Amino acid sequence: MLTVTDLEAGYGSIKVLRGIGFTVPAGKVVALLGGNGAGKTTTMKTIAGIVAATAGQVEFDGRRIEREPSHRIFARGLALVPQGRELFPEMTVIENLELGGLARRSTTEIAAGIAGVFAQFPRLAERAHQRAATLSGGEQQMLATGRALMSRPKLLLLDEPTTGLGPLIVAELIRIVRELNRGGQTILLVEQNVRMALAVADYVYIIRTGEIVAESEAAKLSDRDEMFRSYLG
Amino acid sequence: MSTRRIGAGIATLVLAGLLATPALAEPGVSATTIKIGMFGPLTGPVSVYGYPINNGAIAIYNEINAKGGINGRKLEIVHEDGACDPAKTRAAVKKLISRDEVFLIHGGSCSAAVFAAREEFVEEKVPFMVMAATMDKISDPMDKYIFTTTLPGSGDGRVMLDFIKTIPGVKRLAVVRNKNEWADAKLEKFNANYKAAGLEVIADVELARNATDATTQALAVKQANPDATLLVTYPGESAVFLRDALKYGLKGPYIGTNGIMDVLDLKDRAGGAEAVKDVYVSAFLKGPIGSPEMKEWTDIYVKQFPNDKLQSLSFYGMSGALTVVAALEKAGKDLTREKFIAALESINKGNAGPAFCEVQFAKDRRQGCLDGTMWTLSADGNTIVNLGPSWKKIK
Amino acid sequence: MDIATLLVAGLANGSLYSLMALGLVLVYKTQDVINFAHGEVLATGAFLGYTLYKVVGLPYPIAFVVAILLGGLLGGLIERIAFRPIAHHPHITLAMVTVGLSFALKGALRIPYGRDIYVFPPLMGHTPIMVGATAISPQSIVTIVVALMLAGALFAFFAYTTMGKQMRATQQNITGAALVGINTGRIFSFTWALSCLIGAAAGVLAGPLSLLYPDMGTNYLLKGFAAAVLGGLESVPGAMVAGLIVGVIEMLFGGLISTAFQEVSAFFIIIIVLMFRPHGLFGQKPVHRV
Repeated sequence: MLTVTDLEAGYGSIKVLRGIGFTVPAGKVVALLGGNGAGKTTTMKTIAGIVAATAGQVEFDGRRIEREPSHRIFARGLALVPQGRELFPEMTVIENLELGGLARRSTTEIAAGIAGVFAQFPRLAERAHQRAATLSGGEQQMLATGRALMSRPKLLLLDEPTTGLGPLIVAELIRIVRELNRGGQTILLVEQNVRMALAVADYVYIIRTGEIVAESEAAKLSDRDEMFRSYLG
Repeated sequence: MSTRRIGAGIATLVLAGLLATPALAEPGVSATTIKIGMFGPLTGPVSVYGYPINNGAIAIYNEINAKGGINGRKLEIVHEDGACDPAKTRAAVKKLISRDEVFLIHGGSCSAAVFAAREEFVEEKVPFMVMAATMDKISDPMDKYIFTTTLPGSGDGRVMLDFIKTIPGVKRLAVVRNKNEWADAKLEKFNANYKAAGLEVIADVELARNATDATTQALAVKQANPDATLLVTYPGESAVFLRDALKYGLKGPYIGTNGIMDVLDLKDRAGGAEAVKDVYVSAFLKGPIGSPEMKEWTDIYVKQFPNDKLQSLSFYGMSGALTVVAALEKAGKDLTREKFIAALESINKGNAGPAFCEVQFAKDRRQGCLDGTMWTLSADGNTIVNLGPSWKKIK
Repeated sequence: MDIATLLVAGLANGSLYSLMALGLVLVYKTQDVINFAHGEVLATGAFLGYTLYKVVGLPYPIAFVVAILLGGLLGGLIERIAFRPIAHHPHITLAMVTVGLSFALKGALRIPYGRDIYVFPPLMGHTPIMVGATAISPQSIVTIVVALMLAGALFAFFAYTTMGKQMRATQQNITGAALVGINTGRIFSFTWALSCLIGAAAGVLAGPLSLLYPDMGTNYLLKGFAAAVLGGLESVPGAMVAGLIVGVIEMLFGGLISTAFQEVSAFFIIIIVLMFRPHGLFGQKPVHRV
């Protein structure tokens, strides 16, 4: 579904991605693992069109998208749940969800979509009319995920969903990602939390200073693997 | 002073010594030309007034040039922008004096700006004819080099006061005024003398420059219920006040300064004849635009500036230009600044062109025009009627 | 002095300040920039209205609508041509460009209209309607009603339309907006169009109250800016209410205390308010954005 080849990107004169390449097959959960500053978030933002690619290719669903603006990439069915969540703080939970679906779905579909998200995240249903700014960190992560799902994306990009969240919420997120994947959702996940990644991913790439340095089926790895740890450090 | 500037100064002196002939030593005077510096608000909001005023003077000078100039010399005008701003005006005058080395300067329509530049003329001893600025302090106390043929603010105040005294039944006055040097000058002599004339000011209301609303001012005047209202405001605000006065049912008469003598223009701005039907304005022109008295001067202006809209402002600068020309002619072929000043001082019953007065200077007199008249609109509101100095009922 | 008369006149002026403040707030909310050319937008609207009504001879309501739509179009074009290419530059750069734009628009207006002063005739005549001792100018009523209708339409637009919601979303979080597929460039254009449309409407309404000349917008920009600050700079209802407050304060101050301080009274009150409420009457303390 997604094939990234020799992708390069950066901010100004600083090059963050130095020819990164990986694939996300349809129906799978792929995780990019790496430490701080490895280039994980930049990879996600470049794929989603928020950071411009300086070289290389991104092929999504049979089309090259590395030169397209973010709203067109989104329209093709690629939704990013960013690390900062990027919610609309003064809007209610329902309004945030609505906006997630506005660009791709008709207004009648949106109501059904919201019901679907509420079924998946009952906590959000309780907070339906609260402003996003008043939600807890975990609830905000759920809302960001729900908002991305509103567009019924072919590919969901999750950028460090567990950042700053307690163990109970992380467990809840693991359950949700698994459930989504069981429903056929293709997911690209970026994580520092190895336990979370290994719990949900089919395949794992390890990224370090803007390059892929190792890859493996998730089942063959464990979080105690010393070599694996050293790459993350 | 830097060594470079001293060096340049010495070089200039040497060159001047080598090249200059005594007859041409006077700044701004050559065998064929006399340089006249001109400044005024050529940019900024007030440039609306600046251009027509300066153009009136330019029209006179061009006319003289077309007739062969003065004593064989053509008049060459050098322009600077003062933007109606004191600092910029002072800089403009400095430039005219030191860079352009003009013989005399004729310019200045904004009182505060001209006043700020006054020192330059006094120090540099350059003859200055005020273009249209009305502030008394520019020419009084007098300085040898500063002349004006514009009716000063105090004179305007006197013309209005003399007129008010002749209106039957008017004892209690309201004053609506701008808060600036211009309005202060107009009111200075007025305030000093109205009590002696048996009048009383029962309301003094301020209207800001460029105000677009005069509701509170109109209501304050209405509440005071005066016998007459004195308007010491610029044309824009005068129109706004009269419009709102009509809106809130005020009664005239209104007596305005010569700043709004273009009553027809005031009528348009205030939104119709109804708003200005009881307005009397002080005026320093011989007659309104289109009147036979103004024909000669109108023709001169239109010939030089066929695309300009003709307005009262078009004639403000002419009396000064005519006086400058008369004095230059009188000063003779061997033109010097001192001779020019002497020639100005000797002007007696000089031609003020479109202005109402006759120009009168003397060794101790620098305000050449002190007479004014009063105008109002005809009953149908379409023409200006010259009333002379005292009140009359318009049929 | 009749307080009701003062109030009506204050509300009429205030509703123009409100419209100016709304235009400023819209652009500020979206791009964090004060549009210093907004006074010239008002002047442009006034001249457009004048030309369509007096010169072309369209009926007033049609002239009004066409003038404000043209004002909106101008706003969209300004954004697309002048601001889109530098949208990612620091805010100060954008602010400086608006200053330049202010001079450019003034210059452009001087080409056809020169240095003359034009008079926009009032829609309903100058004769006031008397309600008891209260004199109400018909033009004041027109101004207040049209301004309130515009403000109402704007609230409805933001609350109920897709575009309105997308604009609010972009104001609150531009990255988030891009992530949910909103074409943020289009939102910028539309924001400027809407801001200039409202500014042009203020201009057409101000025409009969003020006189028309290219610099006519300066005073309205100052008062509108004061209202925007008083309202909290980011608040649409705040701008609306604060504009009315500024208009009424001016009138009451001038009418009841002194005409000498009328022009500065609003600024004086605003300084006092901001001493106690630094984020304005309706502004919120800057929240940490989620």
